[in-house]
Amino acid sequence: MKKIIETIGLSYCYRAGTSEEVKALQDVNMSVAKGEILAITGQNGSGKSTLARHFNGLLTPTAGDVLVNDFSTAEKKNIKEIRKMVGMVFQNPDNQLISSIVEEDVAFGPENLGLPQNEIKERVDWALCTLNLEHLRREPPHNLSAGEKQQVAIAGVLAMKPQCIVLDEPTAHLDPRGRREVLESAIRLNREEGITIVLLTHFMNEVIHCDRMVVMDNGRVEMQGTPHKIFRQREGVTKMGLDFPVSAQVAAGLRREGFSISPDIIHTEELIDNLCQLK
Amino acid sequence: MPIEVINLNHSYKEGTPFKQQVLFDINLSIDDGEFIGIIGPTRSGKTTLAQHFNALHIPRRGKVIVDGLDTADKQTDLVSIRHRVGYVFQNPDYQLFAPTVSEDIAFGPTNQNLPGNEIKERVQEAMTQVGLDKTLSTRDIFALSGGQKRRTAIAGVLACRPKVLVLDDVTAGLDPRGREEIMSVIHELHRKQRITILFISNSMDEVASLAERIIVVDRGKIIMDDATRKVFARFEELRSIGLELPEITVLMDKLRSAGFDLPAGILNVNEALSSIIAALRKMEVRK
Repeated sequence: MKKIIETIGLSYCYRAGTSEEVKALQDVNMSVAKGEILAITGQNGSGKSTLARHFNGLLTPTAGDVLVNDFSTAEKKNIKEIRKMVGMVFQNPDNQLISSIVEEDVAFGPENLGLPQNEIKERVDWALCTLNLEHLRREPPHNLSAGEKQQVAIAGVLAMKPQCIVLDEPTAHLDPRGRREVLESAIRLNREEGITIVLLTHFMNEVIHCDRMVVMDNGRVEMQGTPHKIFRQREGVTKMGLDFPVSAQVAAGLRREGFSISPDIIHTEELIDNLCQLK
Repeated sequence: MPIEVINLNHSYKEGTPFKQQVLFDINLSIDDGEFIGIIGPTRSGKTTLAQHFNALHIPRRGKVIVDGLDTADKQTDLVSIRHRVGYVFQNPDYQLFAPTVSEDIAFGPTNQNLPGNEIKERVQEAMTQVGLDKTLSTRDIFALSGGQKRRTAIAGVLACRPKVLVLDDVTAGLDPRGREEIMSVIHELHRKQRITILFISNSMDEVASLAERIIVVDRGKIIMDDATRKVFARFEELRSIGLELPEITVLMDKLRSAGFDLPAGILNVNEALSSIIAALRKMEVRK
């Protein structure tokens, strides 16, 4: 599978060269494959956000290299191209929305690309339509719910037509519906529009819908693989301070009681199928 | 220390053309030692309602009576109400402002003009209650983890020895371990000291695991106020306003539809496990 993002021996220090130096990333080697949904998880302070900010050159490595479609983020001349390829959505949509009307906010990115007016309009229409936000186009952002604001922030990034969207804990401050809708949007953009998605999250019920996951701890990548493969490693997952998906918790409890339940269960449907086989 | 809310209405930008009513005819009473979950979609008014409990909002229409004191009465000492009803905000960065952990926690008791040794004692006690290690007392606020910041914010409120604690989505953005630690701190405060807890949350799983009673707010109105199990039994109404059931409850419902003989209204993994095991044994499933 072709890599869209690759980190090679990536290290990053905040306040490098001072007495207050903090090593936030140490020798990180990982990649994001074109077309996948990748979850990045790990405890607060493990380096997830610092890593994600390297994916579009918001931060550049203290040591090592980050390649986006083989362009190094360390070279200033590449940054403009890289930011067109990789868009970023942050935790708090209030920090990302700037205009007084939704459609203007979504148009902000394409306008800055210097596109002709009709193309900008086309892109805004497309982004709003893809995220089912057309009914909100003339609303001021402050009239929207937190979930809707986050969808508008995603639309703004989508209108840049990136190949990859990085979402940094996009559901942390949303209510249950907002959470579900943002996750569904991310999955739809991947499946239907072929956009590579990187999702930073603390929610294991979001992680299990991703193709692959990376677990960070103390500035290092400690585990990577499919959710099925990772959640099998019960000790490792616990050591990383993660939860288990609810179905995996139930499955583990039943296995302890001696029932014949697969150690690979992470989805509800898998647990139901397995229990039905016991009937 | 009971709280009574009587016909409370609240509007933002009152007296301007932009007036927006956010609470409508709220009636509610809270008894000593209750653990109440407050849930609702964003902008439903749950935070505005909760901020009336410690007089951050003063009613213009309707009444809020805290421990017999009307918060709108000019004679009422609002500072003393705020010491009795502690409020922990969602974002600890809005709440923490002193340079170090112990100075921040000492702020409330210092304002109560308590003697120095008593302040010191309360700071230590509050740190123990929230499980902050003594060595952190001189730690720079900015050097704390997300979970430590939340615990410092809660300790600062506890140092005023409140009878009621309002927690406004305090686990948002925390990792699973941090969330679990905060949940166990809150559980212990309620269990050991019988502090009344008003727990606002977007996590149905957290509310289901701790609260005994749930108040559901939607578009400024209380639409349900009942025992936790009864509220989560009304899942169609909850879904229609954008809420969900706890994950484990959804899982159990699906198992029931698949033909397993399981009770409705299961709210946590332990209950779920024992009822699945009982059902499997009844079916004489071979191990």
